[in-house]
Amino acid sequence: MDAINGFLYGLDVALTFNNLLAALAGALAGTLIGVLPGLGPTAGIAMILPLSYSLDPTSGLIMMAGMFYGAMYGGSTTAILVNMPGESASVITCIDGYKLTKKGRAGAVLTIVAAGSFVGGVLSVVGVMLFAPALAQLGLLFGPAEFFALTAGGLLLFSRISGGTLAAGIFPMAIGLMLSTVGQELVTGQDRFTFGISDLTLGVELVALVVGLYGITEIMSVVTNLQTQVKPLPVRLREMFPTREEWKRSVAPYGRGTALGFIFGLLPGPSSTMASFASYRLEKGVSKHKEELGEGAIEGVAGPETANNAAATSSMVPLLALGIPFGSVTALMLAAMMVHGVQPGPMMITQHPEVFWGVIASMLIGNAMLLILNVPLISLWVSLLRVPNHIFLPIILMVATIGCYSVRNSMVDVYMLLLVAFVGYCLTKLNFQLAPMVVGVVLGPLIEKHLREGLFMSLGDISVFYTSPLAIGIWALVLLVLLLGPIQYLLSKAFGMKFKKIIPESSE
Amino acid sequence: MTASTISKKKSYVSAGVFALLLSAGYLRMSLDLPMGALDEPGAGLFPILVSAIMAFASLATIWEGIKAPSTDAIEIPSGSDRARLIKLILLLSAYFVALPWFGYSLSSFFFSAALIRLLSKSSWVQCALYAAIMTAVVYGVFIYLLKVPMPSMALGF
Repeated sequence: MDAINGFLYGLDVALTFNNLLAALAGALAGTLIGVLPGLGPTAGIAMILPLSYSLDPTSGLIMMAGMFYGAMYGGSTTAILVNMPGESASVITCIDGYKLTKKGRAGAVLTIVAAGSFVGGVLSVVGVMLFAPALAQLGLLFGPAEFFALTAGGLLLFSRISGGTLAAGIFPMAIGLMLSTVGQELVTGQDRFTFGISDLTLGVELVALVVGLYGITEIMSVVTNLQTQVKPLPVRLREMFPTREEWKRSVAPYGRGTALGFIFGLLPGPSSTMASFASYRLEKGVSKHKEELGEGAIEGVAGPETANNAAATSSMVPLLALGIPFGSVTALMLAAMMVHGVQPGPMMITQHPEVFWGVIASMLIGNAMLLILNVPLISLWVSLLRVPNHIFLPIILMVATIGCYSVRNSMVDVYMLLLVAFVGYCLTKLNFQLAPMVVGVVLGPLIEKHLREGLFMSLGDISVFYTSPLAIGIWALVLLVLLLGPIQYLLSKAFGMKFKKIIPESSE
Repeated sequence: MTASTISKKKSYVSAGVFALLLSAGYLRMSLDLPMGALDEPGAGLFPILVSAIMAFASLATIWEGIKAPSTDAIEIPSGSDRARLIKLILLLSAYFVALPWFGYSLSSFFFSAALIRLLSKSSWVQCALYAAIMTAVVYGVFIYLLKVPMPSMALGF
């Protein structure tokens, strides 16, 4: 099936009533999650993960993908209206978005963002449609050595690129890998590190881990900063129309943001965040109105918001084509697919075309839904921002508990929620990154599987991991990126060369 | 927010030492697992590699702690903010312990009433009213409509 026929088949799948409903529910829930402080896309998706188990795999994944890009859009609303990013990818939007709000252009900026998210999402879907099958074809050449290089190297890269110092990335990654070894080992059925607790035989529950790490940890932070809740001014429908000048100035940032976002989405790391920061940097460098950036320029909002949505969409490529998640949200999607018995990877396009093409086509529909619904619904989202913390925090905690318990009907998972939240809170205070822990838990079993398969198939010859040209290529790339920092350091020491970071230290 | 600080140097070194001990304990338990052979690796091989990674990460944390300037500090909540955080943790612990004993609805009602009281200046009557509405809505949506199984006490609540 070529890309066009595949996409048409995907549209057939995505346009069924159930899948349309899943896309709509996902897009709306995602926007809600993005708008509400205390819940990011990762925790939000983890909370609905158990619900997605009751849907068929295609609908479940469509719903989760919808939540992902819905949250990207929702996160920008709080950034623009109250100078508080709903998620990290919208941090940069605060700078010009909030200044424009203070100039009375909030409604127009939200429309520009909605349109940009749509453009970025849709063009990125076209890229996914063309790129994912080609990558899956390449993936067919991969054996255990190549997959080991991709998963282990990808995890290593992810933990280094996630931000902060060396320890800030690899320390949580190591905890994640440790947690991934808890439970019954898949090959021989040997129990590992269960301490006689039968509920741990199936391993550490990902929902408990993610909701604890992202949801409860964030709620702990909100509770310690209670007095900072800012109430937004109302936004009326008639204020939602941008001027001709604003549209004109947004077109080029839309294009640049889409291209950057698509590329960043394919790479390991916090792709949406990196894409929005890189786009802002690019606008500062090439925009005709660069002197206005930082003072309330529409380019400073249009570019980054387009880029983060494009990156959210293209981050599905490595997941669908190779079965490798390069972020915490795609890691959750991988977990959901495995629960449904769908093994993502190069064979997925032939074994489960309805899932592969259905999810891709649904992204186009979901983005259109977001555009149609979100502009008129903006006053609803704004009114949600006025809900006091003491109302929505107990609701989030009750729903988080239900979500966590319902996966395996286990109280151990609920207790773990609190333990993980405490660890997550301490790690956050130490400026450590949380995402490498989640990706470590998901990739750990895959790394172990490919390592053992490789050794088994080569009759114990470890050279199998470094003699295949593809594996060498992957490791060389990983090494190059890992050594980029030290190389830059040496160049700056030796020749006084200066290098800029995509994400400034203060924003990491 | 009221905040006090702790030294980054001390925090990183303490975290690193704790993790190093953890990796040593983990390695000890990994050695009890079957190793197998290189051509047929057992369940213990990967955990041993992970314990090495954990040890390296711990040493990196200790190293960063030692290298950190003594003026670098980590902000932690203090005063009423810290008290609120501790109360939240205690409330959550009590809620999770109560769940299997008193069922979802009763535990959730008391938990949310206490949390609302902690986070707002509402009277106990208002808190109870809000908590009853919230618990009923969450119960109705998740347990009644979506049939999510939760621990229940008498009369299925």
